Amino acid sequence: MGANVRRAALTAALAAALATTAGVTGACSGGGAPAGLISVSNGGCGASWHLAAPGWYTFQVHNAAAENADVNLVNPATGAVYADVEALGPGTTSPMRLNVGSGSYAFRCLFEDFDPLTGPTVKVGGHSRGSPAILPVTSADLIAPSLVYHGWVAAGLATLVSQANAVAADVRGGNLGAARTAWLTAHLTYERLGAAYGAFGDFDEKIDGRPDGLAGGVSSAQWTGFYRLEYGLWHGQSARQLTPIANALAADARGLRAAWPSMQIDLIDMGLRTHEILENALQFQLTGHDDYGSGTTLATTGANIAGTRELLTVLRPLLAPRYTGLPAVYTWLNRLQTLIGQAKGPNGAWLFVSALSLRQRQQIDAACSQALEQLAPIAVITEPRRT
Amino acid sequence: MADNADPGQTESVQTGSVQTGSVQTGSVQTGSVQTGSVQTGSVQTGSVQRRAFLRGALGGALGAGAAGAVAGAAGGYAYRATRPASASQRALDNAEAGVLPPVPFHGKYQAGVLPQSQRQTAVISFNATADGRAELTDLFRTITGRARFLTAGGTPPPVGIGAPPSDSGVLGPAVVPDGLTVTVGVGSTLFDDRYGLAPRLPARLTPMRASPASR
Repeated sequence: MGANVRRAALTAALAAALATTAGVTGACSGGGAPAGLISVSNGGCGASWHLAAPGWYTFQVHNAAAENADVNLVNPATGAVYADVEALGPGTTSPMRLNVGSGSYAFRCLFEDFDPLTGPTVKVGGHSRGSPAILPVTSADLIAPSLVYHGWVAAGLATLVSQANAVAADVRGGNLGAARTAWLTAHLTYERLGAAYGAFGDFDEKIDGRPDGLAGGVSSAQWTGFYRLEYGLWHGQSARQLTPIANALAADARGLRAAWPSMQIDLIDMGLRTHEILENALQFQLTGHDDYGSGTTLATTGANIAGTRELLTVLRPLLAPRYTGLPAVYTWLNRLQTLIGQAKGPNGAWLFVSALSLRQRQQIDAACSQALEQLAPIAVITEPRRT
Repeated sequence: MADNADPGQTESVQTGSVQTGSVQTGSVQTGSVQTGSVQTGSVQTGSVQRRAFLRGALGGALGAGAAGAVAGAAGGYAYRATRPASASQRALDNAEAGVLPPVPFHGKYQAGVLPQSQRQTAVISFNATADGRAELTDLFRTITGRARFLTAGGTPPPVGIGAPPSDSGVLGPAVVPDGLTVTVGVGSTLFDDRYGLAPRLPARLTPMRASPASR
């Protein structure tokens, strides 16, 4: 597992550790029977080995070559991966532990700058189900979805530019009431684009940055973007004072749109973003942290759900055959969306999260947390792998 | 743990999972903490846990373990350290190594109820947000499985290649039980009309009064 994925998986809301480890018998907390040393090199990938019976085993995988290797234990018939050791350095040994079920297994060695090597097929007898395998997702598999997503973002950015221009025009014209309405429309457009964890590089800081860490906080002259404008529009600042801020926001939106065609989506981010967007919402929106006066963080969460759904849609062909938890992802996203839709004032206006009842807030937070737990495995499943 | 805690005095927590000390507990549908207190006697669990608790996830490294109580309408986890039970050689060895022996999870009573009060205890309460009986059952199964594993210790079984790592990154790859006990209780409002438990309400179970110290 790549460092990025590992980090995200760990921070990925809770999900991880605790996960209801269904399918894995909880009693097996021991190290498993040793399964011997598996030596890999440019000349051979786990030469001869055998297992007498299914069960928990720990392979000691040793890299006898002079290059780094990714070592996978695969189903040779389908290429599905049961377990992997990543970036195993020359001369080093690393454990690979799994529940070996009945079936066919082979080690597959991926040395940098060498063609993949597959070792001999080993059949394990009996009628026992072991750790599940997943069909690897390759970079090639991810290119088409990422292009679709790139195009979707481009269309969203075009909308953003026109909406940000409208906000700026309202502010310049002194129509601050209209500007507040237009601000929300434009901000939700931006939040739908899944701008979590700096997806848009420096532009994200300019367009949607927080005052956290800036000297002077909300009065810092370095604070720009949607939240800065929100703060001014909802704290009685004048049109004259806010005009340069609104103009800069519109200019930054145009700058992002212009830069986007040459900005590349890191393929590993496609899967990571599926939980990172909502993870940010849980941390900054549902807590009210990112409320700078408008009380629309629930609306923002709704936009974040929409952004998450778009990623799931483009990844769906890859996920459907690989992730049995996918229906539960939609179940919980739907539940979260429903709860947010119900959390409005009598006139249909958005409410500050602090205005919600304790029960409402707990249910929303719980649904978001559970949605994140269901989303968490996607990053690992869609991590691009060599085959 | 006050069953009828005034919402205005409570801390709402934003995540569905809780990590406590040498315990990581995830609640499947328990989204919020209604009331909570962390009682600790060690540097390891003091401000760190308090801060983490407010952030919504209890984290830290509780050296000696913990015990707990969860609840339905309001209840909680309490994590409590259990003192060495005997002067056996094994206990001595453990003491010399700075860890407490594991306390059996299975037994006639929940662990952590009868021993004298502990040096380190975390008491946490939740409102149940489970939607219906099946989800509540799922929640208790999750808590049970997690408590059983954490009190026994060991290396969590790999959950397979398509899942996040079973090592939470908090406790390290191998969990040391270190005398941990987890005690779970439920509040009387769990027996309302949500889960079909009304006929099972124990006769003397009533909402807890808020103690003066929790005001």
